Amino acid sequence: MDPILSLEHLQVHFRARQGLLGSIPIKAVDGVSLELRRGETLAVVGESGSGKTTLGRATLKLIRATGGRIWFEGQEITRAPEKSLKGFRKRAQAIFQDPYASLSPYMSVFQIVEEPLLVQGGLSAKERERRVVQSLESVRLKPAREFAAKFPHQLSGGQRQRVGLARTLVLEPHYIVADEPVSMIDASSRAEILYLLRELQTARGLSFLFITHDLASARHFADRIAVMYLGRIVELAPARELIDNPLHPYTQALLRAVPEPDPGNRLRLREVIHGEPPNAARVPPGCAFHPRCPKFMGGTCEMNRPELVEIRPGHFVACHLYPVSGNLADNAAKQGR
Amino acid sequence: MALLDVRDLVLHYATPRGPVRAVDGVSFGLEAGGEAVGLIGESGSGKTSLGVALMRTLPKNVARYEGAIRFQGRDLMPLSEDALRREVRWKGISMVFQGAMNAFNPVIRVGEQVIERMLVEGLPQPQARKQAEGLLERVGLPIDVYNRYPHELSGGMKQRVVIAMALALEPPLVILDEPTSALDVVVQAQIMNLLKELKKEMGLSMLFITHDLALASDLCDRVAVMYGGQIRELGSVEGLLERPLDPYTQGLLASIPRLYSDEMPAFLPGAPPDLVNPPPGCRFQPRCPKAFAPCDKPPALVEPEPGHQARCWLYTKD
Repeated sequence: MDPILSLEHLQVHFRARQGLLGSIPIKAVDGVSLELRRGETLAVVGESGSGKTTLGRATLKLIRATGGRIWFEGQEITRAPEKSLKGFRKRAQAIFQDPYASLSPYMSVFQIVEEPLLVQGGLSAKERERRVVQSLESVRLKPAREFAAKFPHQLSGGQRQRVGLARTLVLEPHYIVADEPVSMIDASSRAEILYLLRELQTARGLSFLFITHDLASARHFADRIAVMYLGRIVELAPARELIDNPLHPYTQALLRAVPEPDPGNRLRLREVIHGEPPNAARVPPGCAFHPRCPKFMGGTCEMNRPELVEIRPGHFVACHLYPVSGNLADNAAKQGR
Repeated sequence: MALLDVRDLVLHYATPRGPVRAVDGVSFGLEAGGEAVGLIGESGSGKTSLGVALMRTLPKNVARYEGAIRFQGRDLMPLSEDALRREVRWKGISMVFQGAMNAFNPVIRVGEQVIERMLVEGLPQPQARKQAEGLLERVGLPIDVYNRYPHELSGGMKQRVVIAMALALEPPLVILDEPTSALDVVVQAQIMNLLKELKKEMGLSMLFITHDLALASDLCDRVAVMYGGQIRELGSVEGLLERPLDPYTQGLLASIPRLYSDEMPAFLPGAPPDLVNPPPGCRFQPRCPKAFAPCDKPPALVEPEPGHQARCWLYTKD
């Protein structure tokens, strides 16, 4: 089936001011090729500074891509003028991280959810009301009319996040970027939101780019996981495959660092890589991970940048430990874009 | 004798709507020589207020502040502010406040901020400097960090400096409030390793405040679960993770997504109680899947297994 979104060598480079007159280039996203299938949830996992948020925004054209191409529902939109993007703006939406900051405190839930319809225009008041109520019901804020009259401060964090989701859904999008949608929500309520997203995905065939730092949530709620490090995808695989058989040393290090509720943990030190992700302004040459990599191979890793290749069916990795060989690599070159 | 023994601690805040019962009758103990107790709670459970109550770094709108805080056998509540500052705060009990790594003075060198408390104590500058360098090394930083400015350090390095500052006056007990919540998972694991070393090698006792039960299990010997200003369950980390008694603890555990299991995470419907008007009986009752008739009355903290306490009518025999 045709993908809903494809990225081909997507680049987002900025110049950041440094000092009085100077500026330095920042490669936030540096050559990402991806396909998101219809009805698929693809998790993008990485630490802060990995470029995962910038990647999500670039796919919504909230940030300009400086290189590469973006295709949405069969049309190239990379450099399309804004006035030709009206359909895209409706069908591609975002859910934000902070349900406390993203809702206006002076607007009722009804007004918040109705606003995108007013901006879009062309609907009668009655039709707008019908859609708002329907949208609130679809995120299980019931009775919808009762919730519609409330203001954000009367709601819990989980309820606010559902209002944000209702606002997103009211335009009936096909593609949603969910950037850390549950990281500000209490642990005991997180799964409620994630189940809701999953249900919407199944019922409406929505496609999600699920941006998160939480590998365990990604395992349970995403179909595939892409791991980003300094602007590039270093590993991409079906969710369980990536967790159970991580190939990239960075993915392995991330997984070892995740605390699991096990009483034995406290009796041992965790094996952990040193250092912190360097700034996207100073991306190391060769493999960007080489200065921290426990499996660093001198003479190779700092010299050549590894390409993302398919090592097993559907499992891609960018690492010199897995040399490119014959047919598989050719396949990968085709499928990677 | 316990290093810290807290009895019926109460901290209420005055608000226009009425008093907020942030800490509402909390009792627990903590042993000297490297015991780590985890204080787990979701937002609004009162866990940070409990830390604040122990340090007596109170805001202005306190409505009620009472109970007993016995530290090294001595009740701190009757102490004057002056005596507490001179004899206990930082020297006996120190605290790593949430977000402290973003509260450095940006124009003062890191080392000078580390020795501030030592100088207040009357230590001569050269000696303080020497001690501070030792501390920086102890928390895994190069000595030259002393001469750097805060903006020259990464998040993980700043958090290490904050921990060094809490250790400046060699307190036997440190309260850590979400010390890794702003850090990425790899750096978090590095800091947790450091805390484990300090616990083991220096015999530092810790009260580790967090919303993350899994993270607490990485460090703590015992864990207390807070909800609605009260401790709902308190026990060894083994007991609590393997045989959780309280339905809230059970729900919290089930909500943790597991990396290596196909079992999907669960969730607790509803929201935590409003601490101005908490439910009259058990505070978890409105969300509890096991609620029954007795829950209309407030349950007491009982001890169904030795060393394992729960505030739940399921374990209360009349």
